[in-house]
Amino acid sequence: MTDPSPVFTADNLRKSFSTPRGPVKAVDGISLELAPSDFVALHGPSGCGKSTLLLIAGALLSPDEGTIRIDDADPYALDANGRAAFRAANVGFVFQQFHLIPFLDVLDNVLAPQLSGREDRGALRTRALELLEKFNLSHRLNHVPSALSVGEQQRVALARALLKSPRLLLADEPTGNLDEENARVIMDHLSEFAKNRGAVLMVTHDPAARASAKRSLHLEAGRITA
Amino acid sequence: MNLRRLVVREILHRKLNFALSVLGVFLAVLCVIATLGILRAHDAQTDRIIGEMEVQTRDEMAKLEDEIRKSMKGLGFNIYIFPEDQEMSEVYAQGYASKSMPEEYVNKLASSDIVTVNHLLPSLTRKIKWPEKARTVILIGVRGEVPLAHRDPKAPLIDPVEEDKLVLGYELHRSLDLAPGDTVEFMGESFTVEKCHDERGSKDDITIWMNLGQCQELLQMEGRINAIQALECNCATVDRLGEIRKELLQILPDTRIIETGSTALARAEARNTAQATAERQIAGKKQERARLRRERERFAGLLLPIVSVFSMAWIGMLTLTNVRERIPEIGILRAIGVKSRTVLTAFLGRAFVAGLTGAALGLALAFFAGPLFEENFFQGHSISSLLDARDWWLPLLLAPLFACLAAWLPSFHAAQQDPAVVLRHD
Ligand SMILES: Nc1ncnc2c1ncn2[C@@H]1O[C@H](COP(=O)(O)OP(=O)(O)OP(=O)(O)O)[C@@H](O)[C@H]1O
Ligand SMILES: [Mg+2]
Repeated sequence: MTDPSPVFTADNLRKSFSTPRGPVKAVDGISLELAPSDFVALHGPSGCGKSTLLLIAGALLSPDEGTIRIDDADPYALDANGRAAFRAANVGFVFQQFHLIPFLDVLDNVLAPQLSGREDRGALRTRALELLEKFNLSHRLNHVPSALSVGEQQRVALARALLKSPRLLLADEPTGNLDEENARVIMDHLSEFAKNRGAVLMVTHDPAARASAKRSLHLEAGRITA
Repeated sequence: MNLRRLVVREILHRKLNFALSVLGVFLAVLCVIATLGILRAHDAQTDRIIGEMEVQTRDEMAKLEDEIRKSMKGLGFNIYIFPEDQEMSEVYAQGYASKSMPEEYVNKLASSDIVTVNHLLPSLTRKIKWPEKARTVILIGVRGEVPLAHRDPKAPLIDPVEEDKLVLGYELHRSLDLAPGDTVEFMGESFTVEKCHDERGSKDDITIWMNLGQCQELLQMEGRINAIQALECNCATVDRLGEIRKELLQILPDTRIIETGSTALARAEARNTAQATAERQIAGKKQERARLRRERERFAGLLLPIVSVFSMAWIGMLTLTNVRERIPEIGILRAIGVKSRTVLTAFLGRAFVAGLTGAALGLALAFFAGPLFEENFFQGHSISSLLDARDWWLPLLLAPLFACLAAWLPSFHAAQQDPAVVLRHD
């Protein structure tokens, strides 16, 4: 870790949800730091708080206690619109279900982050085409998601997450729906993103995926245990 | 990639939902246009009917008037000649003139070569107390007809009352129990009752007629009269009063001439009655049309709100369905930094396009298929003649606004979706 300023820090995060059977402590005192080029895999039993931690890290769910900083800024100090703009500029998301927009073709799906505000459209388009070329999707530009294989779909989702060159990439079981070969391709791309001074926080059950990460954290009942 | 593209792509993707929204607006707009057309057709029809009736009345009246004018030319009529300074309102109020003029006037007329007048009857009238009987009577001194010098003397029209004789109205001889031949005291003089009139139901019933000269003496108005009646006047032109005035005023400049009841007047009255009847008929027709219009308006006033509410509820429900379907999409858009306002705009934009499309289709159908319904719905008027430009562009403006209003709640619901909740179920 040559860079002294981390991409992401979490300080003593706590988040509980009230349920009919009393409050559930989803995240219970987690501190974490991701330096540039860091690639962290989170694993643990179902319900241990992995997704909750990811949502908090992605400026989508404010913690009850503790703070996070992304590139030295606290997104929860901003109002809703400010936080949305912050997410657009700094965070990329990849999900197990891809969450592509079904009626947009591949290129438009990758360019969907343009909807978050005015930007240099030409530059983003060039970037989108580069990413799709790199992800071997150039021949699919005008296909809708339903016409793609799952591996292709996840690559489109990844391209969308990387469009605005975020510092932090959050992935929740990105290979959960993929076969071995497609999973490997995605992990390669995540590794490459990390190598280029990005930081990746990834939830995964897949031991092979975990092997691609630089380090691996085990969560148990909302706490990091290893 | 931009918002417009997102809206258009989504519409093309979920065609059924969009088409159903369009259908809702389409039917509502069609309903509005049809109702408007029916009301306008009613008004146009009313104008047409009333216009036709008015033209017909006008024509009939003109014809009637023409006939009356023609027939009046040959008809005799009566006039009164009063002193020039006589207030007519007074004559109408008390029944006779209070101002007087020289009796000489009647002789002057009679000896002129006036051709328009046939009979001249001078009179002096006063309302006085009958001192001996302590009651109010109208005393008229009459001289009978003054023969026109330039013609053969005619038989008198009214019996001149001889000196020392009285003619009594019904009320007088009845209450005083007088009969022809009786002697009675009047202002200190003794008179014989010459004639007793039957009941006339007018002031004639309290009138005493006597010889003009004797009357002037009793009233100390020697040589004075206050009216000359000219009977059976005849004129060559239609403007008979104008003609006769011209002639008379040359001879008697300080008098005024008034026409009284005649056959001609009665005809003019008949014409007025005919006109009044026609006007009443038109007014009745107008009233009937107005009542029909109110009924149609009431129906429209019931139909249009119901149609609007149903159409809006329909669009609201379809939008809600659309929002439900798109929850994951909203979640991911919000996660990648799209503002909630943008999400709201996307859904409202969709409703706007549906409103615009529905209105355009509805108006187009009304325009092109309207002629097929002209006979049955628009009373033969063409839809384009019934609706003006505003009737066409206003629905085009309002339908999208109402659609947005209808979609507002579900769209707002969409914009309020928490991406954390949406994406957690991954
Ligand atoms: N919005 C919520 N309301 C109530 N409870 C919640 C909510 N979000 C999470 N939880 C609870 O918090 C705990 C942690 O949930 P979380 O989704 O983070 O688990 P996870 O580690 O991602 O599990 P999995 O591996 O099954 O995805 C669970 O018990 C879950 O039921
Ligand atoms: Mg999870």
